[in-house]
Amino acid sequence: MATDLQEKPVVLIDPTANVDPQHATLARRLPDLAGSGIAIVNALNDPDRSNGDIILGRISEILLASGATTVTTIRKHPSAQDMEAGLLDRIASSSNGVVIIEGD
Amino acid sequence: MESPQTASQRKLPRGVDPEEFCHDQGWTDGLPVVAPTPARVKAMLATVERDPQELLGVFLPLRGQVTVEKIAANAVLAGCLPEHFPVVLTAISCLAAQEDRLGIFLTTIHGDSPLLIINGPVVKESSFNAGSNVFGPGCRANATVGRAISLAVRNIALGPPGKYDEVTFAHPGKYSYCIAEYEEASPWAPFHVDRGFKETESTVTVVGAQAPLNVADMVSTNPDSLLTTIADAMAIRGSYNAYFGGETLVVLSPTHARILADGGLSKADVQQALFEQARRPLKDLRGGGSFGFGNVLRWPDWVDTSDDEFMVPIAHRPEDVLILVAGGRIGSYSCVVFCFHGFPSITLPIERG
Repeated sequence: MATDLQEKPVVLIDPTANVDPQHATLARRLPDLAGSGIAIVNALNDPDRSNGDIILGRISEILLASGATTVTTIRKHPSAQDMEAGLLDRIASSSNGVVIIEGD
Repeated sequence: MESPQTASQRKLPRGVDPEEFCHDQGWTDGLPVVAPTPARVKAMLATVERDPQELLGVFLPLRGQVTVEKIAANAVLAGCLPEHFPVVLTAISCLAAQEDRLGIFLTTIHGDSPLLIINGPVVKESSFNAGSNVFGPGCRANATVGRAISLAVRNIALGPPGKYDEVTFAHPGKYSYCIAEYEEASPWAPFHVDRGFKETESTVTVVGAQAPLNVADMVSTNPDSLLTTIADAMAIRGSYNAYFGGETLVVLSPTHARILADGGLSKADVQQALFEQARRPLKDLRGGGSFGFGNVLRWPDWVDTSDDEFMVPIAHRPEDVLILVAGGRIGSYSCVVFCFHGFPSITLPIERG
């Protein structure tokens, strides 16, 4: 398009947003996994999908092979729903670390 | 003297068509846009007493920072008049009020879009259409305000299709989805008054909505028969609502609303009747649709899942049936709009500068 165009430069206001950096602070990292209990939360939109279980199973194997004593998998309801009351507290009280998998 | 360029300003090379530049940047929905020059954006901002850099929220999934100025730029892009901007800003505030739910609402491949419902004096003052062709084209206020929300969602929260937006079909309302209630043609109090606002206040309601399903009932002359038709349209196995609940918006034409009111029904009576009648036997819902999806059913506790004949409610509470009056005066039709259970409707007052 090169007709009827302005002689002066044009300035536009960019309608796209600046991306907010993640504000969450990282949890304290375990020095190693030896003797630890790890919780894996399956928060996929459909936690029953078999591919999710395959990924989580593989993560479980890696954690156990790396020294974790127990790996507990927890299924959260679809992501459109709020997390069950008390679930985070239960995870915190029974685990040294947590892995959350999200997706659709 | 030229004012200094801010971080949100983009200087175009000489000879570049501003509108084509907008398309090239991926800022548009594919239709022609109005280039958001500083003067046009300033005209939008002049209609509200807000700091242009005021942060309204951070919208998932992009984690885009929503500022008043960014919304004004999107309102210009969409073709809004400055007088529309307070309405646009209120609709964005409705989304921001449920910021934690936006990620799933905007990215679900189910394909829901924000539907704006306008009530109060602003409907006439800014010439919103509440009558014939209410979901269709032809009214600048409806078209551009709805489009401004759609563009803002795309530019600030979602990104272009293929980034986070992998919806299977979407629906035409994703271009623009804004209606007004036909308050003068309604036999009942306006929708926003039911929600605690004064009739003299102007409001925006946002619901997460599917496309409208037209319901024809040309024959019924009494409430029982008409409600049977509408309830039947609500109780389909293919909706999320049959399994997960949430709200269902029923937009009654003035003709249908009059049949119900002349039959002695209040709006609450209509909600109660549709809550009771919009049901399907459990055996119809089992084994298909979204039964068991996500290993969860969100049916009320009183649903007897051991009884195949149990009539499962589509709306879990009468108040989950949202009743609105709109559309042409001539026409024995209503609309059913299924709403996303993960994003409950919200109504906020419009504030103007």
